[in-house]
Amino acid sequence: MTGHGPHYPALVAALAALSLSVMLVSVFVGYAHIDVLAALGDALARRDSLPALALVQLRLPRAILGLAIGFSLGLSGAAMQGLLRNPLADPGVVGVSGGAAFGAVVAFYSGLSGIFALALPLGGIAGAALAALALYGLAGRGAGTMTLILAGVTINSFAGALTSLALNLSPNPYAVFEIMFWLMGSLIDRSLSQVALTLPLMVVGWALMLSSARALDALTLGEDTATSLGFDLVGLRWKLVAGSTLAVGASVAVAGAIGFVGLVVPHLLRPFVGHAPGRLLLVSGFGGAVVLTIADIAVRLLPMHPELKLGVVTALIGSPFLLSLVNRMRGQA
Amino acid sequence: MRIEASDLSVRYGAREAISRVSLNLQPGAMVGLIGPNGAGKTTLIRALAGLAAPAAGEILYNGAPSRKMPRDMRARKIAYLAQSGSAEWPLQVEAIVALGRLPHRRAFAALTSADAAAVERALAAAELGAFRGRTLGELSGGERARVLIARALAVEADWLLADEPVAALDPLHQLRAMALLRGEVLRGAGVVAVLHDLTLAVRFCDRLILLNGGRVQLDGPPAALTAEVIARIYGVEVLRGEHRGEAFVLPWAALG
Repeated sequence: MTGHGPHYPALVAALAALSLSVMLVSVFVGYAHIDVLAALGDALARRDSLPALALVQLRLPRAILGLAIGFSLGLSGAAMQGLLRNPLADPGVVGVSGGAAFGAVVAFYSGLSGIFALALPLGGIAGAALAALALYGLAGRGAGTMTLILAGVTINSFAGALTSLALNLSPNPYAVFEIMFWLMGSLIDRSLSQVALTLPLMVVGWALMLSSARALDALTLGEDTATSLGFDLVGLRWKLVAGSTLAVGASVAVAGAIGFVGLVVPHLLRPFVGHAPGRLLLVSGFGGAVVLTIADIAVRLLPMHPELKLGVVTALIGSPFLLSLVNRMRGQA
Repeated sequence: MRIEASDLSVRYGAREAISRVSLNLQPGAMVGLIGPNGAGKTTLIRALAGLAAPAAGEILYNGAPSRKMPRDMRARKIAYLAQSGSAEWPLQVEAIVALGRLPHRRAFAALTSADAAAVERALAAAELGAFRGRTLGELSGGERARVLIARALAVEADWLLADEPVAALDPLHQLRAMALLRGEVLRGAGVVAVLHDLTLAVRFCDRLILLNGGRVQLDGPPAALTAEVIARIYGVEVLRGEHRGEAFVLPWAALG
């Protein structure tokens, strides 16, 4: 857009730089005191020292995932809000996060997660994929926006019901605790192989969503006008559903459900891009990366054990922001 | 580019909104699409713009079926102005008008100087210079309507298909907007406008298409829109007179 022309690249660059800085901080923060630079030296020289292991096996995956999941949630939230033209849409509105959570719970419940480590994220990804297929089946190829929302809400509540059913039927109370804690969302003890499994999916999802920027701008003026400006809305809807399925599905699969980031971050940043939904995408992705990484640093610095779950912290920080938004909207009405 | 409707029917569920309409539209003229509420005007203009799928018959662009034309090319050839449009997000006026340049821009590319010039022309034509930094929420209904007209003008397409472009405007801005549409005709574009004000239709259009019940009742020069035709289709008695050599039509009383 014009009007905000020169600011936009600077804003993106600043947020990208901020994302990388908080990621670096995230690498330096942990429960064990390690000399990060020495550990890095060891790791690069392939010496299996304890600090090197802590850096590569614990700190690095946690920092990468914080950045990538935050980016996924912020970007997907902005994309869904732009598609549905509704500021209250969140990344899971089309049913993906519910499906991913259920898939992971099945991996827990069946005991597969105890047999091999990647069963949990694989289960989550499978759940997200199933949810997307169910959405396609329910809503149909030419689905309109309203049908898409209703089908998404249906899938989310059904997946939620199945998750509760699994908890309900669990013969082992310890497993129930474990599942519930996992669902609250955390980045603790994640491995590089989990990064390798989920990051490529997220990147494809990002590309699908970021390439829809112009269509989302056109959609500001309604569906007929967007179509008259040359955009295929049926294709756009499925591209964004596929993009958020990949990004959010992979995120939930590896970290559990982390709420509010995808809802709140686009709101906070919207005024800085002149409210243009296309420009909001990238900015919101970096914003989500910053917020989630900071929250993940905070849970490590807070003197609480076991550490607070990330999803709990983002909800605690996010709710007041949402409240102030409601207040502002009430003022306008 | 020539736009034709060939034996066109459009349905919404079981209801046929447009029945077997055939039209041939040439650029360089201003066509008024008139008719009572529910006559099928919006459906017809949407179908001409490629936004409503025919149930039978087809739309032809330069003799070829409209669906064969790539979307982006159609978007550069036909600008469409929706009835009572709005913007979902509080974008600035200038940014909204710039959306009209989307069909001319590549993905991820910024506005070129040619795009910026087209936006400026549209802003100036719709007298919006003073409002460029405002959002639609800060404007009156009439100002908002002008912003949306300017957005459609910024496409600088071969055709402007406008659904009730002047409905929200005061008399002064109605006259100015009609002059604006005539300006599009002068630069060689074709304009189809859905109109309810029969005086504006008779004065500014080269050709009138009168719809009722989804069928074309009259297709001809404004002179063909006689008081008898209006009485029969609209059920209204009108005064049809002349002022400074131009016709006016004044609805006076409901008939029957």
